[in-house]
Amino acid sequence: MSRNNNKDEAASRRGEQAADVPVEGASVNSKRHEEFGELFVRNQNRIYRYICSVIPNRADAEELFQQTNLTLWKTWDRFDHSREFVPWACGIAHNHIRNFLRKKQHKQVVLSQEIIEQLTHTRMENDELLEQRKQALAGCLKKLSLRQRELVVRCYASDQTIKQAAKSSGQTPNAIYKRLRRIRAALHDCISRSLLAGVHG
Amino acid sequence: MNEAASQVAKLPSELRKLADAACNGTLTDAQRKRLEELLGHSKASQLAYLSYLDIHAQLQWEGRCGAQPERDAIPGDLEQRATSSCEMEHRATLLAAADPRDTGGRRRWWVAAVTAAALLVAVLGFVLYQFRPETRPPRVVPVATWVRGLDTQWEDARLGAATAVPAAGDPLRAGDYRLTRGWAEIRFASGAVVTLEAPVRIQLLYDGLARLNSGRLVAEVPPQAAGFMIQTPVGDVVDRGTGFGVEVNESGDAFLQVYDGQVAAEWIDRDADDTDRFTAPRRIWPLTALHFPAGDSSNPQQTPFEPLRFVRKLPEPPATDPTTVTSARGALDDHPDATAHVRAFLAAVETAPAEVMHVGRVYEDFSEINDFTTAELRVLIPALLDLLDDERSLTPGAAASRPWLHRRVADRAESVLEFAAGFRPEGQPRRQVWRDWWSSAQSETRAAWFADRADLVRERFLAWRMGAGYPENLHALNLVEIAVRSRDHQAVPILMELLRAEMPAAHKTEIPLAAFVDAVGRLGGPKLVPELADLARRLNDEQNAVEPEEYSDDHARRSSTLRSFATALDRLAGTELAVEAVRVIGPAELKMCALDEDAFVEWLKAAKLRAGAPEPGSPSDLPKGSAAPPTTSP
Repeated sequence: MSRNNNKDEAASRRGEQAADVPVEGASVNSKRHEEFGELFVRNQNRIYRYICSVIPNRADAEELFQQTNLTLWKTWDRFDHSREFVPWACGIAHNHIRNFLRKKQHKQVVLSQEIIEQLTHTRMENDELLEQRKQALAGCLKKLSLRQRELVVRCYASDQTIKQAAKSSGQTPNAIYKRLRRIRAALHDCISRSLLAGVHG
Repeated sequence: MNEAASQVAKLPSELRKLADAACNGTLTDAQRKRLEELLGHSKASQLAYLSYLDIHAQLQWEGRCGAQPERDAIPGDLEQRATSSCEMEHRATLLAAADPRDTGGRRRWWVAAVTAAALLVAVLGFVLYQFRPETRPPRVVPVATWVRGLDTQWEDARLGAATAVPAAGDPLRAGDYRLTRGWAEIRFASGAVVTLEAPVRIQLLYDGLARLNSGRLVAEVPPQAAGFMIQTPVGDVVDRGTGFGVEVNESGDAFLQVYDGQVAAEWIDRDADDTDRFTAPRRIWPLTALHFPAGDSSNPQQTPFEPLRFVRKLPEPPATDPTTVTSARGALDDHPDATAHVRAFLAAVETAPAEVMHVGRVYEDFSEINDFTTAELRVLIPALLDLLDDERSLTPGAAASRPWLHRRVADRAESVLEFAAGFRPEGQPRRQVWRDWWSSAQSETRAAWFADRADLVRERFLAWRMGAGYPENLHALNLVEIAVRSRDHQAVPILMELLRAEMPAAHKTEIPLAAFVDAVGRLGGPKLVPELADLARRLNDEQNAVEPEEYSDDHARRSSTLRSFATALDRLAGTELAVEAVRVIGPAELKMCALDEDAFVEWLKAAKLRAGAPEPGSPSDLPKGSAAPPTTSP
């Protein structure tokens, strides 16, 4: 026990260097690990949204998200804490997406790699705006009618596919697609309005 | 920002249609090309597209929070914190909505109502999440608490091998854990109790959900914790208020066994279609067992229900207070109706088989009560027989991989046999009942008993030698005693093996070596004589190498073992060889007579008488080579 304490002290004395030696710098290391954990947790949603906005299919996005998380978690000690977390994490996600595109694992039509690169770039540039929009979404969701909310849950919060959702509600898939389109459009407009309102007022 | 924001507001209808198709997953190749043209030309379009897709992404995020947080491969406590906006109720509601008991049209309406309510919860959670101060770190809630361990080695993935075994009541945070040795019992906040058996790799996710990556566990889920879920690589078990055991082996197969309960457990196959996951879980009824092969888990095979395949509950720590047993015993003695007590104990055995180590002690006490009537024994003995059947049903593989369980069951069997061994000769009718049972039902058990338990005997013996003390010592002696009483010749090779191995330490042994020698003398045949004589000779040499006047415990121990050798050789080889034995072990023993004269003289007398030799005391009459009788008296 006391030997370990000595080691910890030695590690702290060595300062930053010690953090790169996980075995020796247990306390420093675990502090960094803790910090990393915080970043990791706080930014889960942003990473997921990035993936999902370029690979909209749920199953594929989910798979990529898992892979990304795994990589992030495995390589946490390579993260330079002086840098921003989200771009780093999205870079890793982007690598996974590149692999995914190369292997042509996708079940549905996806955008070309070149366009995805551009979208990634644009997304990183406008990260702040997109965060603001995300926050506005919460208020806009409340403005949906009960029927609209129900459809959102049925299509997004259950594992039903749209076709199955259509079947179970006795509608055609096309009708569902139309309703979803209206809902998304309404949300999009609502978000834009509330942001403008926020900016101007 | 303002500019960008207003750009985003302008979403040309063509772009929006294509974005919708992308969200819906209905994008055609032609549409994709057109979309790429539009996006490739302008950053504004890209931003507009992204902002639109971001709505889709966020809704999907909310949805996945509700429906499947458990799929994440991310480390547990972070998983928990990451999904802190996802209410458990939400997930529970979705699972409940998928209850296959509700079918038909009614269900749809119900689902609709419930899902609408679920969305409200989700939205509320989402809103609350948004207003959570970013500066405050997410609170880490313990998922479960440590109840106790047994022979435990435990690893928290965050700490590695340096993890200390938690104390009772210590909180366990979400995260990855390994149980590398022994057993552990943990309790989730909801009340579900999980017993782990090493080696286990488990990820605690949150209260009500854990992922078993490999190994074996049993979950006992009280009704209020219904919905408790254990994930495996091939599927998830949802408990509706029963108990189940689940095992994930090295090749990733899952094995599920459901115990008694009012309701079935449910299995959600990993390979099932998305829709089937929650709408059509497989129900697994109590007292059934299924094997889900990796890669073909949707076609499980029925396997026999094995009560002892899993350790359902760890035994209570042994009572340190001997008055517990004594008072139980006293109660039995004082009670006018002993049968009622016997029944009560038997009921206790049935309802809490894990407590049997306790109960076993009571059995030992039973054996001391000599006034059982034959009628009472007719109640008692079949129950004991059941216990031995349990012992027999423990497959050799399970026994080898789980010495502790093996030991536990063996303890039980041992208690039963002690019960048998404890009958006094005067209790003739009771002995008869026992003997009938023993001879009719136990030939198989008897034959296998010592053979199966070789390791146990050895282990007990070694434990005892290492100074484990009285109980182990007693166990070793009990085993020997039982073997002798049940005329179990299977014990002989094991005893001989132990003797050979342990003879060099004979001077350190208290009683068992002598008892072993004695048992060999009673159970073995003449073929053993040369070897026993050889062992005795060596022991004798050792004894002689030490100055005889130096009385010590070592001397006394060797002495008692040597006397056992003499008796054993006497029994096995008849008087002629007994005389030889006297010749072999005589000198030392005669010198030690001063220390334990009565016993030795008595034995010697008997040996001499049988050999037709004169009484000891006339040294010249001793056979050739024997030493002079003691010339010094204390």
